[in-house]
Amino acid sequence: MSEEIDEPLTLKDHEPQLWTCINCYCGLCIESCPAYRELKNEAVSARGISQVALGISWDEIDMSELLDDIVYACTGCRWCDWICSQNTPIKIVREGTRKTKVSGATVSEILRSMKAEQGTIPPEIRDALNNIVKHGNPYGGPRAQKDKWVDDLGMKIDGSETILYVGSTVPYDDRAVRAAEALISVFKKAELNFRMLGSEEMDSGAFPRMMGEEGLFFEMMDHNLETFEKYGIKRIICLSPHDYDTFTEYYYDMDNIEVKHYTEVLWEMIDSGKIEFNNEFDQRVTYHDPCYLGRRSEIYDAPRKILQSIPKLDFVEMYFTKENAHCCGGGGTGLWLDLPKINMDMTRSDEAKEKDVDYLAVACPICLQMLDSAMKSKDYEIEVRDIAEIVEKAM
Amino acid sequence: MTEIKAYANVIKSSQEMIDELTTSLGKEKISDDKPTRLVYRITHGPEALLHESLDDFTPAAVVRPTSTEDVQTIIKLADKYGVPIVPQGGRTCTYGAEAMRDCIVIDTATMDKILEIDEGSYRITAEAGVRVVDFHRYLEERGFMCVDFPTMNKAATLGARAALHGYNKFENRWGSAGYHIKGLEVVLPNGEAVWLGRGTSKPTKSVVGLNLMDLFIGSRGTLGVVTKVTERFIDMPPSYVYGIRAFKDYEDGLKTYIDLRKPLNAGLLWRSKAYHRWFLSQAVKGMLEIDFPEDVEMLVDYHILGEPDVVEKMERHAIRIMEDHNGFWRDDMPPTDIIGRMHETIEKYMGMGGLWSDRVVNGGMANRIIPLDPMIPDSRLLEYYKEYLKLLHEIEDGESYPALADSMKVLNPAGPVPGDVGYSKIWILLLANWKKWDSETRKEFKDWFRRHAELALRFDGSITGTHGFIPREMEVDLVRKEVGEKAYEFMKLIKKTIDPKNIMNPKVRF
Repeated sequence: MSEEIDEPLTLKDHEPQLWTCINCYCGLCIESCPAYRELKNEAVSARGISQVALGISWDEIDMSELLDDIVYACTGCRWCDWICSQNTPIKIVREGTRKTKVSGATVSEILRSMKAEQGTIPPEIRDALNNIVKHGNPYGGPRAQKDKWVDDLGMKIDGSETILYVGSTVPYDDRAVRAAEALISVFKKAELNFRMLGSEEMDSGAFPRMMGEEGLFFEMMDHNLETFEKYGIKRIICLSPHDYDTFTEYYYDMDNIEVKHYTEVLWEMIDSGKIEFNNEFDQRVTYHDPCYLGRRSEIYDAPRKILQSIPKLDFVEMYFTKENAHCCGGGGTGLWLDLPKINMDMTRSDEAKEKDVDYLAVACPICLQMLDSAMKSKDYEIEVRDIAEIVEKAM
Repeated sequence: MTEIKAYANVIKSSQEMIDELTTSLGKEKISDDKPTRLVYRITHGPEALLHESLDDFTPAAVVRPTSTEDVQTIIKLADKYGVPIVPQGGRTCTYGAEAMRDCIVIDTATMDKILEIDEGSYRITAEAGVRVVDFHRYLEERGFMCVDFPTMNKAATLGARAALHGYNKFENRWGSAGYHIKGLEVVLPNGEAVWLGRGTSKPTKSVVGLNLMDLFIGSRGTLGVVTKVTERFIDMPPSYVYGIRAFKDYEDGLKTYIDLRKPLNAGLLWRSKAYHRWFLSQAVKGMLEIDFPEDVEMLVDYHILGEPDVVEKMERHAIRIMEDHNGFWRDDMPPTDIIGRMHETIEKYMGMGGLWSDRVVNGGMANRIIPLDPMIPDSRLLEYYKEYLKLLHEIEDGESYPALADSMKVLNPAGPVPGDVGYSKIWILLLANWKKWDSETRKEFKDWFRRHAELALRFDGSITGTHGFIPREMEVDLVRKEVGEKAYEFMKLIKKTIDPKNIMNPKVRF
């Protein structure tokens, strides 16, 4: 394991970056920070949380004084990271990916780790973490269920060097299952040679890391890397941008494994003629950029090209789109911990509604859950579907 | 002027006020937890560099009103308990919005609704906490344009723009923030809310009564809290061009800049700016990793907006002015758009805090930018500029100010940008390594600042054209020198009449 990431980073490690934020104070990180837009308390923005972190570092603030809103509001959407003047224009020598950034997400991760070390995490997060420890997924679903699901689809690993990594939302959340099965159906029709790991596929570590359990993240990573080696995996296609981000940004020793998000693979297959559309999709559709696919991984084009290639599909962009897209609220600990004053999913649903669309397309099982629930809560007549589901309908 | 009450009494009063506010407004609008209080204590401004402890800025609570009525409630309680109030917007300003120990901060960002637009009369009314970027978006979606365009538009709020009379990138054509504001609703220190215009409560000029609104433009929260703003807007210009030329002699560059921004050209030429090589060589090297040409001393650019055929003719006129003063362009110059974007996008502007710091070397700490901006009459610009460059060199020479030389650097010596008609703001950027600032650095900086201020006054200028920063302990003395004794006493009289208990942002002194 890399020595650099073996040691959990502390606030002291980040002090120069926190100082940078206090020095700069430009406020770019605030206006589109989804947590700030909900709470209107600057303490949850990158500029604010940097001051909170320095306050802790300087013994001005005791950890017990931190409200859950401040520690857990960040969804890791990377707005602050992407827009920050100190990260983008100057040619910063970056070591790895985390050490030199001024990021609200980074600081939130550290504060969550400190809470975890103190054993003062909220019960919803504690339960999700315990489930990952016991079952390899945060829902507490039995591992056998995943094996059966894969068996029923006839997709058990059999020597193929390519796997579809569905992540720990599948097969435990119905909407995520719907998306995964649509994708598998499309890949099968297009005769892609791939298999799945079933219960040997553990959570990638994305959830524990964002919950502040760095140690559990390393356990997941070690397990998954051993499994990939055991089966000689050379190519991973991720259903979830969260897993894609974790593999590409946080895993060490992935040099010999190609990692792709499924939208990239789908577009390659459409572009090369391996996927053809026989049906029209005569609907007005907009697309929500998942933060972990867009700002974090800079994959903006493939999902749009897929949708725009479908016959009769009327594609429209939301106002806040691509780099400026607002978060669905499910990143970080958002899927598990309900902070009463934060309703990013509702806000994003309103933004889709502004465009008078029939469908809101997503490319992430977490966005799918968040936005589907929000549309139903708001009683909007907009169907939330994963891109794979739309492609399947159009084939 | 009534002094702020003794510190121990302020703490007691603040707590009593918070308790009563909690009852009146509800707990969700008030944050008195330590982390939030620390977050709201400082701003983008340099004043924090001059204090040993940031405790000097820590408020007792942050209150987030959602209506004018909420603000009235807060002010009435502040009046009752004698607790200082500091209104804040985006807190990107460089002076005025820092909190003060045990004050109540009013965070106006929760008052964020656009209330009314009259497209036929080109008037729009919004709450004070609307971010400028959202305001622009609202107008753009309707085919209009807001002509107030601050650098920090993503964070700045409309109310704060009024309270600071902020600098506008289109100043050459349209003037500072206050010139677009046609009406203001303010809550006075007695808790009354009142609509003000220029001599009328209607959002237009009038000769009825007194121009009360302008008392609040640039008043930095010392007379009341701005709660609503009515601004003018224009149709979206269909055409835009940007141009730039290089000059081997800064005198040629400054003459070009002055000619370009003559009032006759201001209809279409919205912005012109000069950049000195002292700045360019550092910025271009830091951002593009290329060397700036040795023989070029100044760049001057222009932005022209309007109808296409008229823009085309105006550009030919602008190019002729530049060539008359030996302006040229060569292939070894940095890309033209990088200069135009340097101030246009805050990302580039603020990213310069990383220059001359560990940030570019190993990702360590960046610097704090200290922006200074004396306003100098164009008729004396050249003469002033020569003397000012000498004064700036003293920061870095190591002999005049040894502590400053070790902890501060000049990023931008002075890029004149249009201020009021016939006046230019000298856009100076200094870089400070905050961690190195100690009592000696503070002492040297104050001494240098005093000389900088006296130089501006000697050339019939103003100490500050935009950002408003004057070290707090020098403010009374320097303001008195700039405006004159009688005007200063008149200001005090107005302040005392409107705010007899001195509860409104009392750290801003005059």
